[in-house]
Amino acid sequence: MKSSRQRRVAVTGLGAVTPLGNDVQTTWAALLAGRSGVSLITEFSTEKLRSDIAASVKGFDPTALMSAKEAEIHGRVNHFALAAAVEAMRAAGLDHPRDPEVATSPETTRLPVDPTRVGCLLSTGQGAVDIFEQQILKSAERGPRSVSPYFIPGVMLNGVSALISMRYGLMGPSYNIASACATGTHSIATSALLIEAGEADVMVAGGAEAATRMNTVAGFGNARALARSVDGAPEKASRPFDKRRQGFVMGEGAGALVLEEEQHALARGATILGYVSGFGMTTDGEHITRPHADGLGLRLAMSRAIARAGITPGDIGYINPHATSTTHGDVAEYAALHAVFGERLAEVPVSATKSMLGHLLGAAGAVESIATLLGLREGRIHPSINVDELGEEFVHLRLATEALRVDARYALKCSAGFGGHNCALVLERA
Amino acid sequence: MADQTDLLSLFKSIASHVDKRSFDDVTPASVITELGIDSLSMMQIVGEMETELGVMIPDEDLVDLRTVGDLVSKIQARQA
Repeated sequence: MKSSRQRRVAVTGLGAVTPLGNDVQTTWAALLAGRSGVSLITEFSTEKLRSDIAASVKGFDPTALMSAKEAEIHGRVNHFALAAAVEAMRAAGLDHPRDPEVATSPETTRLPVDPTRVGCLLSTGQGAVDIFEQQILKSAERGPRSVSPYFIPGVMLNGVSALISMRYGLMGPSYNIASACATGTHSIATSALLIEAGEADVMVAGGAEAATRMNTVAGFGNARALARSVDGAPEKASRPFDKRRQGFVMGEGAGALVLEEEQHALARGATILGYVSGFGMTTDGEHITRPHADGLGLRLAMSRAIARAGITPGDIGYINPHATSTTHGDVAEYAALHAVFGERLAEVPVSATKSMLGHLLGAAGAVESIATLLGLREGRIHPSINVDELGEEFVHLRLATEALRVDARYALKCSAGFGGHNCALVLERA
Repeated sequence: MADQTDLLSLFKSIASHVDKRSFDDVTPASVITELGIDSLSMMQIVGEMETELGVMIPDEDLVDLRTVGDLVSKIQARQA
């Protein structure tokens, strides 16, 4: 357990936009019900692509939060990020946008907290792929003078954090962390680190992604990383730890968490939803896409997260793994889990959010952390779907194939990204 | 070559497209800074007009522009 003198990181707000719902409660209800958000791609032609399925956000209107002009400047990833951030800030009692006609300052803020102590690390791994495609096409067809002056601010990865910071007039640390599929998790870990270190009291943390475009599906598909429909059903394609798993399903969305120093939250009467009690960040340093065969980097990240929380593996009561449903990735992660938990792994319930949401890439770790925190808080974890036959390698894995009552204080959330970037979190019930 | 009236119409149409609002009331005497167009949006409008008309407006033509009429005159001169 942590020393009482240390600054402790509480969670005071959650927000999400996912293929299963455009807010946290809708998403969570669908996850508990074991529903899949995967379907056929309809936004563009999938002719000659190696996969024709994705988990897409449905019925999302960006102009609910920004003008039509702003919606055009920013890519879909920023739209999702802002919506998730606003939901999280509202839940935290902090959704007080600045007056855009007044210069930002601690004196003019409408926030009930010091804006110089509030930052944002809501990151994207891929950025606004839609804007890239659109502007490159425009240049090719009509020449470079037709390229929008908003092209650069529209595609810069830090545009996500900038947009959120500008809405509220946040003046603390804000930037973007990119570690591919570990982006959201790294952003939460680094935000917690900033709060623990005293650099901020509140951080809007998480991840966002909206990269399902023809060229990215081609790229991931040609790398043979993507799953296709199973038995003719798109919703059966994402099947972590199942014998017939064949790759991941591209997803999109955003997850936002308001992280806040515990005493700061208590002083303003905020509801504490949980804690980020530990984190570990490591790198494989071996291959650009293939995970370390024994999951060594991921194992170290898990061990460091558990040690930093001041607990032992025996205290972990639920595991929400990275579990992308790729042939090698799931095996490497299992090796890491088995090395950390040993035979006790068979006692800890595990469920993979990606079995339903697909792989939200840079948003995955954030949305999955939200699912993990809600599971701890409500004492009920969501299931892992599409497990007809557990892969023979996963002998000690206690995969929850239905929603399960779990009385756990601590959970482990892990993520790993292309590039060999690993991040693990220990999340704690309030 | 487009005349002043055509260029003014083109400006209004492109500005409406870029800024998602009506510019029907704009005249050659309209002062650009009073139209509420962001500096980047103004460059977007110029770029779209250049592309549409097949002309290149050098940077030096874009300094000291006060009115929409000033812009239209510069474009017209570059078309000649």
